[in-house]
Amino acid sequence: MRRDFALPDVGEGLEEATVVDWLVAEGDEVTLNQPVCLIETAKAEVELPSPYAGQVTALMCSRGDTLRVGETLMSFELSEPRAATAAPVEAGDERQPLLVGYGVEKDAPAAPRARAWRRASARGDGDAVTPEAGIRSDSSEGFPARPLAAPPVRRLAKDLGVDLSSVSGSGPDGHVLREDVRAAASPSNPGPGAPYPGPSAAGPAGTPRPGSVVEVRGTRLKVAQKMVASRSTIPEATCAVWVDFSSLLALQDAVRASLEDPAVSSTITPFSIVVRLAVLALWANPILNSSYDEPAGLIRVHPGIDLGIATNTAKGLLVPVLRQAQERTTLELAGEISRLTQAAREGGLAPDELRGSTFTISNFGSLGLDDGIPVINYPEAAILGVGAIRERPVVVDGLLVARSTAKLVCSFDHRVCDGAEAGRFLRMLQQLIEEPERALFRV
Amino acid sequence: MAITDRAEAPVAASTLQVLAPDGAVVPGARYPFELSDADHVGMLTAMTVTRRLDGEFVNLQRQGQLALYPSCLGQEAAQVGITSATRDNDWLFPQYRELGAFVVRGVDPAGIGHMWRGMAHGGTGLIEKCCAPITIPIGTHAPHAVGYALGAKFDGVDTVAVTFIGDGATSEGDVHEALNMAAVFQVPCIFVVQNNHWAISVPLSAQTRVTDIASKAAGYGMAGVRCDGNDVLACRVVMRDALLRAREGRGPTLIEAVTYRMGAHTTADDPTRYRSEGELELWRRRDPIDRYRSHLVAAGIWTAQHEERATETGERAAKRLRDEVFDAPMPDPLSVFDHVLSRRSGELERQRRQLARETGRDAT
Repeated sequence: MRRDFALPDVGEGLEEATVVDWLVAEGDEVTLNQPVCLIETAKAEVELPSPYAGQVTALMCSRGDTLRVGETLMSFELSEPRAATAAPVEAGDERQPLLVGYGVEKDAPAAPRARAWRRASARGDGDAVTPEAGIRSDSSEGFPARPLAAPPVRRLAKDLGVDLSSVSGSGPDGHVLREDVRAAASPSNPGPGAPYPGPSAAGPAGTPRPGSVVEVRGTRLKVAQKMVASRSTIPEATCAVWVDFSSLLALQDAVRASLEDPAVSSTITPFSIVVRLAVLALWANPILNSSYDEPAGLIRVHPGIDLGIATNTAKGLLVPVLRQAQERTTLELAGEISRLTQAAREGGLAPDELRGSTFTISNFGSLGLDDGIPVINYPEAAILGVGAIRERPVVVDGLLVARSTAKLVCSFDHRVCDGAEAGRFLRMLQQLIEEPERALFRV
Repeated sequence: MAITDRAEAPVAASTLQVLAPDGAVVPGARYPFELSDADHVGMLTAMTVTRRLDGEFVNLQRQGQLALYPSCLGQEAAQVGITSATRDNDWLFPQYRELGAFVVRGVDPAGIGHMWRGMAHGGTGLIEKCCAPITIPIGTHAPHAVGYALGAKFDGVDTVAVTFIGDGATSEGDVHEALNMAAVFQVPCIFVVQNNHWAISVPLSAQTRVTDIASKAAGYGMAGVRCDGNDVLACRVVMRDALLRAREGRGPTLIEAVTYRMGAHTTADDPTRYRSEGELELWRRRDPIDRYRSHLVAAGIWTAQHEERATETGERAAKRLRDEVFDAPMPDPLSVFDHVLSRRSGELERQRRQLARETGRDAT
């Protein structure tokens, strides 16, 4: 089959070019993309690759000749007939994706459409929902009309699980206002505005049934992201000590007995005293109350201790934050811990009370666990875990006796400091717990 | 997180590098240990395929099949390193030189080829892979990315917008507005500046008085980081950090990937008129693919079999492009009415019937 190669426009809008040199002769066999000709345009000197594989049957001009774009430059006899030119591709056709180890499968979420669909399906009706369903459409214009509402109102509607298109707006030009959304979301007004139902896979107690699939969202998603951030960026090391709690338990009894208000005395727990002592030890070892700032190449030591208290709630792990812990008295700290953990369990904390900690303490002992390796609350530098206090056999002055002990575990960012610093912190805390009167020297 | 927020706006002091030009790990580098062997193989394969496909685009232009093509030769590491760190539902807002990003996302090269051929159905196949259209005007897509990110923030959707711009685009007003707005609203948007040193024939020194584009981030109050754009692992590491920052609601990042455009600005440009062979030679020695391959071969991750497979995949992609694009006829003119709006209005229907009448087609 004979094919001509017309002089291409190798620039943008060029009209002609001069053949500087032929790189092949008539009769030569050439391969696809083999350089055949050097041309010069007003813009550049350019080598032309052969568009075909086959035999060169004719060169249509000599060196130095100038041709107009579109004139035949050379001809080929093709070694194998080219397949018929591909038919025009219809957008939306199934295409064969490039076979590289990345990229999405056919049903990649394409943003607005997928989002509209998700929003529709989130309402919980099992029917097939098209992207357009639920969106009012003004047929005279041909454009699907979105309900009028300001972005914060849309956000509110989304949070409350209210479908805006089902709300009639009381604002100017039918704008949907906050009040409209709130009214639509109120319990007396169920229906399409009902809140997002929990994952249907969950059983009555919120535990998934065997074989079910649970959507990762909300607190679970946040915890997952935090853990991945921590474990994928922080090279952590862990150290631990066993601590004798006998003196601290005696102190707890004494303090409780001296407090008249039972509401106050009930907040004095071994954990709240440990927190107070940990704050003292942390204040003396500020490097553990820092963050590693990778882009800046800096370790930022925080000016105060904003203490995160890892708290187990029905929704999952939450970390309420006790601000400026180094400035609180033991009673204030104990009261705050009690308030924060209770509020976290009841879901009554403001977003601000759940972010921005600089150091976190996990009381995994409250779950009855003796030992564990806590994961650092990214981007902090360290985390302290407190195990369960139990009577255990220990050796005192060469004798085996039963003592109330617990294990303290500290995971730390090894970029920020070494075992020596983490160990100093942990040993100091151990000493303070075993001989709480030493704390007097530090207050 | 008041304390760390203030810490988010440091001036990038140095250029982050993981691999030296000879492929050895730089002492003290933040090596991305989380990557599996398969990840590494996937990245080098994508870079290899990008280079092969890029060459085929240039060939097709030289054969009169494409109106124009801007080669990404030499910038494979920046594009593959950045894009491979994203999730498939993070949206990319490309300029026009991001073939490597498209290869990572698995975009069909045919749609890109039709776009450069000037076909009515050019640029299809991008949206499905969460890629915005190829943008010819400089930097106008940066505000689009910020808008998308702002919308995602309002909606509470876990996605990040990534916009690719060049050193030249940093002089554009659109880009300034986008950077400022992204910082003010703390949106999940990442600005990737591929500093390839030349805006057509304008060198960086004539573009800006600073030598470090990442330092501009400080003026917007956002994190700025500079990495070796020919070091795919460095690009991956800085992008991983930036994505994490965005997903945690800690705001946008300006990444400057220092790289070099080894080819012409586009097929209509002759770079020998404004830059020296010596400069090109310097950057040839920093070739991103050679560097990464040396590293992976030394690490025992990349074998002759991988090389062969990557070459085959590149050839297959090039053939797919050629088969689709070469001498391809224009699609039916009436099809333009099918792909712009989701439904036809009365006016569009009227225009469609008129075009059908004028071109002697059946309007049904």
